[in-house]
Amino acid sequence: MQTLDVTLDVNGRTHSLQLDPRTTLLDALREHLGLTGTKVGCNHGTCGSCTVHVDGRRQLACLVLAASAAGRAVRTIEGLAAADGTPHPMQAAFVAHDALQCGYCTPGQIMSAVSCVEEGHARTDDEIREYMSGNLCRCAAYPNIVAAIADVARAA
Amino acid sequence: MDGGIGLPVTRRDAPGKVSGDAQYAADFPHAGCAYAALTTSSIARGRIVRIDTAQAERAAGVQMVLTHRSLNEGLGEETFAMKGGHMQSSFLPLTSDEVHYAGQIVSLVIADTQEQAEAASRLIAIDYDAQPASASMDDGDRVEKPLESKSIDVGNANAALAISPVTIDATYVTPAQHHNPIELYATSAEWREGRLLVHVPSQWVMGTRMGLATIFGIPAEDVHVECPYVGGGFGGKATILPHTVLIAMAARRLGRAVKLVVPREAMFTVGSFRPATRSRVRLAAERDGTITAVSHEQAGQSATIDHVSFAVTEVTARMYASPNIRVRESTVATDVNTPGFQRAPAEAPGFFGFECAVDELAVALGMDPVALRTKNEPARDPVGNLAWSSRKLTECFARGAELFGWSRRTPEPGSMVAEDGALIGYGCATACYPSASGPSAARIRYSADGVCIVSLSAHDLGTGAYTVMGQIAAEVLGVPNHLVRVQLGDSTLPSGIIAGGSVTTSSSGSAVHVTALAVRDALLRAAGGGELVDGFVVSPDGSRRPATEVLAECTSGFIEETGVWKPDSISDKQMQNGLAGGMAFSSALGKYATYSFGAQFAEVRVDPLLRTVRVHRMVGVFDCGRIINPRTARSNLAGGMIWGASFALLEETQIDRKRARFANTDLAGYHFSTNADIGEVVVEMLDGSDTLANPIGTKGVGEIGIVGMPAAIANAVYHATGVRVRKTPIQVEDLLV
Ligand code: FES
Ligand code: FES
Repeated sequence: MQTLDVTLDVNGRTHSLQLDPRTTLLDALREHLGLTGTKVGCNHGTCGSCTVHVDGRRQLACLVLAASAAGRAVRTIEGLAAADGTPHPMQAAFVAHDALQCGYCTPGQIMSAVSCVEEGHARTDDEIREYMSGNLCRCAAYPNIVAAIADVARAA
Repeated sequence: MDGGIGLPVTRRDAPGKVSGDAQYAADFPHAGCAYAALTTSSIARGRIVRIDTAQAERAAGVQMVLTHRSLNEGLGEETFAMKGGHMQSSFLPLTSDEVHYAGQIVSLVIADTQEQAEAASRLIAIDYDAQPASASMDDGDRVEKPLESKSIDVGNANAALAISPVTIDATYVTPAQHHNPIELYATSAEWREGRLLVHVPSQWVMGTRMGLATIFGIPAEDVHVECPYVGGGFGGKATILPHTVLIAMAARRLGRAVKLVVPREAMFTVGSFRPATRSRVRLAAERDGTITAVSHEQAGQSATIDHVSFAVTEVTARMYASPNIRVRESTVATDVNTPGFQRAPAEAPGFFGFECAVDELAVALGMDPVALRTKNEPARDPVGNLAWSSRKLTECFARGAELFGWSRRTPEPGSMVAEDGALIGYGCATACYPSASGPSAARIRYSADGVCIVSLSAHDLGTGAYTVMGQIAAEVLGVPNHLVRVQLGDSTLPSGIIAGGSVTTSSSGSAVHVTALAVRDALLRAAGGGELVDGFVVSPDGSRRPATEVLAECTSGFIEETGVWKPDSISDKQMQNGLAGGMAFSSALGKYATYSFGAQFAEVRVDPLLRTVRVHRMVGVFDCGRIINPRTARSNLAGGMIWGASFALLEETQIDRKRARFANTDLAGYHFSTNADIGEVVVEMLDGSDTLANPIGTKGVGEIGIVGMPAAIANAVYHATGVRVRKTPIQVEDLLV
């Protein structure tokens, strides 16, 4: 099998992997690094459950080839909490506002939500709704997701 | 006490879900795992005449290619869940060369990596002998097959319809829909010394265990189904999907763990879906709004391979006090994968037509739709004359109208206009869902360190079961919330109930309740009598000591009890079957008629030129008996209401009628609400325990949220525009008239 040597920087740690060139960043995280917090809901960019940060911007890991993420800083849900384990304010807000039900879209929602606030797209509830609409939630926790993000945005 | 019944306890599983630690089916590691990829049929009916797998078998990394020619294992008899088995369908793909529906699994490639399996699966060449097929119940050659056992006649509805001064006669249609949970179907299977370990998202781990044991001819104890979290079920993960059997079989042959994650496109055909419906509703009334006849005839889409019916009319027949009631059910067989349960399977589509017709009657009478419903509120079940275990629908409407501001509504369509020129529409509808229950077991261990562990193989699909089950135990034992642990979703635990029909809290919650009582009694026996108050044993002489002190004196350091609960109408034999993994439910119609009720309101805004519809806000007030946790129940009900908004305006599995297949099989083409589609959602639950329903006084919560919403929105669209749309989804083109 033809493989590529790929060095990934994930949550501040460096991983050297030998990957099939077709491997997506999503599969590299989940199947090769065991970082299964990033979820798979469609594999073609329509659900948002695979959202991670690449060089500080939200990206759909299913649409990124692992090889093309080499040398870039990848952050996943597992890397969001502080070093001492204190949850990120967005994680805490999701718990506090019951912004999840089944929890499957939740890691993607949270990664997106962190970016949404950082991008300055959380000034009003309507703006949050708009900029969070790439993250589907079939359980439809939307009202509580908006409340959680608005809370964090206010504190920021 | 901070963790008992009625408190808004924070979701116990939330920390693990926001950190990424919660493991769903496809997240469990299996050492040396091989990966599977599916190929599905490109025709809807016929036979496979040639299947060439040579190239695929030679491809890099490929370990095995399974087709109908290579699958030759003898399998135990299992069947469709609605025929008493555990399977999603009575047909297992790869067991013959026949093709019964488009998207049927025709081969399975197993390789060392996911990429290799997918690449090799594209190398399989198949020739078919295609036969004409039909996937739509509207195709000309399809016939309605009556289901006589579902007919109800009270008085003479036809005669009343003929003589009543005000009548409505209209037909409403709803399309096929798919569950589309965000978590894809996935199965990992591994055999260890003749025992099967399966990770699969499941709403029924005990049923899955029993079904797989039957199929593979091994004792049930040798099948371990582990599934602590389900990434959305909505009915789609209630039964064993065929690929789970195939993956377990492949793993056994290879002597290696095998994992399949089903692609989103294949989700539309490897599992079930909500079938299309057609409802003719006729209503008659006196001029003062007294309903004199209710007639509801529903036809539902079924499959040629499995007869499936979701009869809603036994519920709609009971909504209003009419002396004349007539309902009929029928099915229309089509060449599709077997339809199945999807959130309020019968009620969501059936109430759309029925509750729109009630609105049409209100318009014809010139009467307020809330007043019309309230006027015809039945004191008893109008079909069987049973007493209601509880029915607070009138209170729901009164409170809902107040919360919503219904009194601001001016009845004339198009008479309410927003500042930006949008047409405002107010609509409402009744929601109802039968409250059934079934046998369940539970185990509780209460230890000297104060920790209380509640274990049972029920499921938390996002419904709140992890939280609620612990609260029910804490209520009895007075354990503080942070010391309560709950284990669910594992077939090695005492038997919980299927997560279907909104039965979990009533059934498994009752089992936890009786088990907690047994633990309490054992504790008090160990203490030599007294009472348990807030975690303290209070002796008859008034002295108090912590329960943990008594537990420390027990030789084991804990007290553990396993208890079972069943509804009265379930026999011991049915209970044993249910606990082993069979289907065992009481009916909502026993000594009493037991249903959850709701009054639902919607405000829509319609663009006067573009005719786009937005749901501005929704209000739902529900009578679901006692609410164990208002926080998780509210989220569940709100989620259901948003499902209703999707149903009304977005959801449709389109059918390519020429090729007899589903056409929009991905999330770009199959629409449901995104965050930006949803405005304000207000949910309120009326207080009140229904102790006639079960010992904890609960009725179902999980499904009723969706039931009235499609009609409430359609009725609001009529109020905004004057256009009566009798189909879902309601789209721009329906309003361009
Ligand atoms: S899995 Fe990447 S967007 Fe759905
Ligand atoms: S919480 Fe279930 S999909 Fe969002």
